[in-house]
Amino acid sequence: MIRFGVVLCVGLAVVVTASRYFSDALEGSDFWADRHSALDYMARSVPIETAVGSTKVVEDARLWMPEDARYRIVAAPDLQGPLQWAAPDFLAGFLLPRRQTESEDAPWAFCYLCDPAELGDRFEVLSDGGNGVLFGRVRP
Amino acid sequence: MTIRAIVGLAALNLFVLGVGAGVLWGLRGWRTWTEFVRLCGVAYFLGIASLFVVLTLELVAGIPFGATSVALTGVGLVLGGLLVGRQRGHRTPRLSSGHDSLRPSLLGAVFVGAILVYLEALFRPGRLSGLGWDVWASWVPKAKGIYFSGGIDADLFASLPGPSYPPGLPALHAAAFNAMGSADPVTLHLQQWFLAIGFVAAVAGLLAPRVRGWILLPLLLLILLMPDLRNRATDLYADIPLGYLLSVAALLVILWIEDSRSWKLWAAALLLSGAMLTKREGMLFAVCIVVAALVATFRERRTLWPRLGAASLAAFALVLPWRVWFMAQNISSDAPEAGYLGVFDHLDRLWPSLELVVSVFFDYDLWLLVPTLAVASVVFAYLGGARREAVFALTLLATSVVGSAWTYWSNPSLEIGRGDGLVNRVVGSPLLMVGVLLPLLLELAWQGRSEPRVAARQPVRGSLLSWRTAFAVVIVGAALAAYPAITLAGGAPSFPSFDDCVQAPIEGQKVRVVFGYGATYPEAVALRDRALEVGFQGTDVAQDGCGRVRVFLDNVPTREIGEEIVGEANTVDLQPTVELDPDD
Repeated sequence: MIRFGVVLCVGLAVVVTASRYFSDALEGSDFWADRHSALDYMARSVPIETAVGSTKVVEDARLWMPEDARYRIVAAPDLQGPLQWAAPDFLAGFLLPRRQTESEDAPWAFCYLCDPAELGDRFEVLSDGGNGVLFGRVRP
Repeated sequence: MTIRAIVGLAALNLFVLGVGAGVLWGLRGWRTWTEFVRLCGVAYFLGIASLFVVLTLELVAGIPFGATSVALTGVGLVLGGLLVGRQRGHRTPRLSSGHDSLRPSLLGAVFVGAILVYLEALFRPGRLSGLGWDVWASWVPKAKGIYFSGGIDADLFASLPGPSYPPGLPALHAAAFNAMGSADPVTLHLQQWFLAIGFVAAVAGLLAPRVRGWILLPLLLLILLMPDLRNRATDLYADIPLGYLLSVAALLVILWIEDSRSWKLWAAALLLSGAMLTKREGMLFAVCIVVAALVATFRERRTLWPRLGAASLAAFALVLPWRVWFMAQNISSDAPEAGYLGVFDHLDRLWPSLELVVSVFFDYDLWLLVPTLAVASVVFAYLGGARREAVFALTLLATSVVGSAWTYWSNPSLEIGRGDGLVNRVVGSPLLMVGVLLPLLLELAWQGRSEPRVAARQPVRGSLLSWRTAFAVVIVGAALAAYPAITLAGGAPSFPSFDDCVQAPIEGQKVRVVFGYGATYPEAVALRDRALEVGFQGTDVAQDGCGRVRVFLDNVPTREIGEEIVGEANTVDLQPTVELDPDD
């Protein structure tokens, strides 16, 4: 009786794998491989727009800042959603070894729906996402 | 995203295997090299776990992290293993004794072939995958932080989600960046592929002498095919590595309960330390394994509990440096939001949490029949007389399900629902743990009370070169070769390059004259300024979409005009090219 149960368990495993799921796994892998292969650099290597506001702006930021740069994020006081709680972490991960800081002395800055005047006259916009997401440098 | 990165990653994993082999030699040694091959998967995870432990200790102690320190750490672990092995009298292994070769079967070869094809197929989607949400927000920043700064930056860790999450996996990822030659989080997905191979090898290697092939192999394949496992098999979250470490540890513990061979207990303890240094749930599920072992060995408590207690304490002690460090740094704790006793203020969440976890645990679409078969195997094993093993599995299943529910109950900010897939990630580890016990439990049920508990598969007598062996080798070889052959017949693999953003001009369409590319804007701006200086008005710079900055003059009406501009530029020592202007 117990041995029948064992055979039943193994038999069910064989039926489940052979009936559909093994071929599903291979087809699924092929599907995702093709899909990942079709991604372009921006989709694969730059954080998504939902989290950072503008892929173009953050890629510009990476290309502008030297690796030892320090940057800060200035956000509108009423900023809500992922741009408020996720953008700093995503930017940290993407832009390392460049360091995120809260210091106002940081020579580079992101502006998330902020008032650019807050960043002073010396703030030069280097990239504008067209949706309130800006990146620039503070001239010495 | 290059072949060099993949080769570097493969080298790192061979290094991990070598480190684990040293540790395994210290723990048990091996009589023959074929025995070592069988235990390669266990050795690999011992390498992973011991590197997690020692690299974490080094990071906490402020020892600079880098390729040299990782290599020296590995050498130190191997030397330590060799010394312990020598002290314990382990002898130089022979090639093969003839008694440790298993009888090949054609059915077994078919399933081995299927498992190999599955693993091959898993490689492709991992190679060029994008990054998940928490990977960007937490795992990659931590790994990059260690890689670039050579240590743990407390401020960086404190600013990220899961600040007190242990640094075992980020340290491995940082070592992978070193091995790949750059912080390439895309190719890093293949690290999970190597872990998957190690997991299969570990489970198969531990169970092969105990479980007959027609039970082991179909069930191992079924576990690998669980839809939720394969969907997440190469993502960069820590849940799957955690599940692998815990499940191999659980397997070692149940095998220790069977034969009391101490190396299994100490190997399990090391893997549990590795699990606790992977994710905070590691601690929870390690406790579940220890509790299950205590319950299962209740009758032998006088002899086995002290050993179990010592191993558990040692496992926890190896994690303490990290816990002391993050508390000393005032990094927020990994305790549940509600606190350990505060959960009773949220009793309204108790039942919904349990209901959610149980419903997900038995969801066929996520895990196929594995949980159902696990329950059935517990019953059969118990009825068959393998009571300690059945009690271990049942207690592990029950405590880990309750433990998973507790994570929801004790964290009121977690929405109780399936929406974000978080519950799958939590439940995945318990599922893998009970899943890998399934073949052993069915084997024990099959053997029943009537048969002595001996190796299920008889060693080969006589020559291995029988027709059966030859056919089995052909089947496995054909399976191994078929998938890459079919895939490559569909086209060579693509490797992203800067050239993906360079389009050749097309007759009759607008072109742009490209003066060059810069790795950064300052480089590109310098080139643009030179072009402007010598009169190429309208030259501009912009990101090219492939990680560089293009210096270009666009909207050139025809290729011929473009080539005239190139000719002019050559006279002033500029070397532009003509590309299609896609007008984007």
